[in-house]
Amino acid sequence: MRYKRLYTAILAGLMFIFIASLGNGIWNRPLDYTSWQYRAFHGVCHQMPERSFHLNEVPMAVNTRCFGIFAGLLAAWLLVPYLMTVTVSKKWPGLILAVAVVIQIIDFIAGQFAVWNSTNFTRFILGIFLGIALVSMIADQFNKTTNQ
Amino acid sequence: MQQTDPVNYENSSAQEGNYWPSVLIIGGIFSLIGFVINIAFGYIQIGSEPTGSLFSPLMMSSVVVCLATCVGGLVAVWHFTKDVSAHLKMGRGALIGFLTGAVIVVASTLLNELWLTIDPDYTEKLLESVIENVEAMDLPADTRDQMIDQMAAGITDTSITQQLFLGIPITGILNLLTGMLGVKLFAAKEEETF
Repeated sequence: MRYKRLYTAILAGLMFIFIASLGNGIWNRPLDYTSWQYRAFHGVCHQMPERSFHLNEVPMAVNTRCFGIFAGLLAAWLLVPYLMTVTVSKKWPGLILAVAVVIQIIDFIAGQFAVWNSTNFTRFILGIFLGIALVSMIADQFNKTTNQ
Repeated sequence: MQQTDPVNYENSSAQEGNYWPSVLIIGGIFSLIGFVINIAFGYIQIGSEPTGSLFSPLMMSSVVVCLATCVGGLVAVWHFTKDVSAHLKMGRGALIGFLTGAVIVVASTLLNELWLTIDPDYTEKLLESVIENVEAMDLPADTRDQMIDQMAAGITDTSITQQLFLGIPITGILNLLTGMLGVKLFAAKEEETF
């Protein structure tokens, strides 16, 4: 594996994002939207409690789709040492990423126009899919045999 | 002890190219796009009647801005490979992505602060409109109160330091990943030598 320091730094960053996204509930603290976890994600997520998972009855700091993306990114990042061997010189990661992006767009637009009602769980699953697809696409760059 | 050859180092840096124009141009453009969308949807929200719908103009803008914010790293790497050098290592792509995210956060914060000097009542009007809309929603009282608290906390009471200190790591890491994706998609691959 190459770029080990970059890999470790991003792993630490993704763990930080994942833990912070859990919000106050994981620490058994009451909901406080002025706490740093909620402020940190304000710029990247609408944080609607109706569309967020709750931990200890406290909404997370991000909605279910964003939480799914972060969970997918972290889970796939942990698997990069494996993914980099199975994705090298393969076209399927690009195809999967394209499908994941298109599904997100369709799901969002369909939700806007009430074509169907996605649930918190389906949004979470789609988010995980996108996170894993993104990492699968770049994982082979860590492989020493990949040309750059 | 290993010593760095200054001549080789300089040559290497020169070959790798200056990434700051890409970072600043793309970071600036994306922060401007995000700012314009935010302000435009903000005024649409202010001017609209409370519908009680979950999908308010403000929510729409947050989704669009989020998307625009996260692909900044990808576009900055594309710009670099097009204008500076097609050869780009992944570490440098990651750096370009992270810095682009940081520029987006800094520039967006400054533009928002600047707008508040032009229209000092903007925040108050937006908050009033958002609260009216949430109050019209058919939701349990607890959820409604949480939403109002969340929106009020998001719209007001965030200092510039907080916005930068909390915004840069999150936006930076997300753009770092899209920057790496940019390297995969746009950087030239070396020819294999046998």
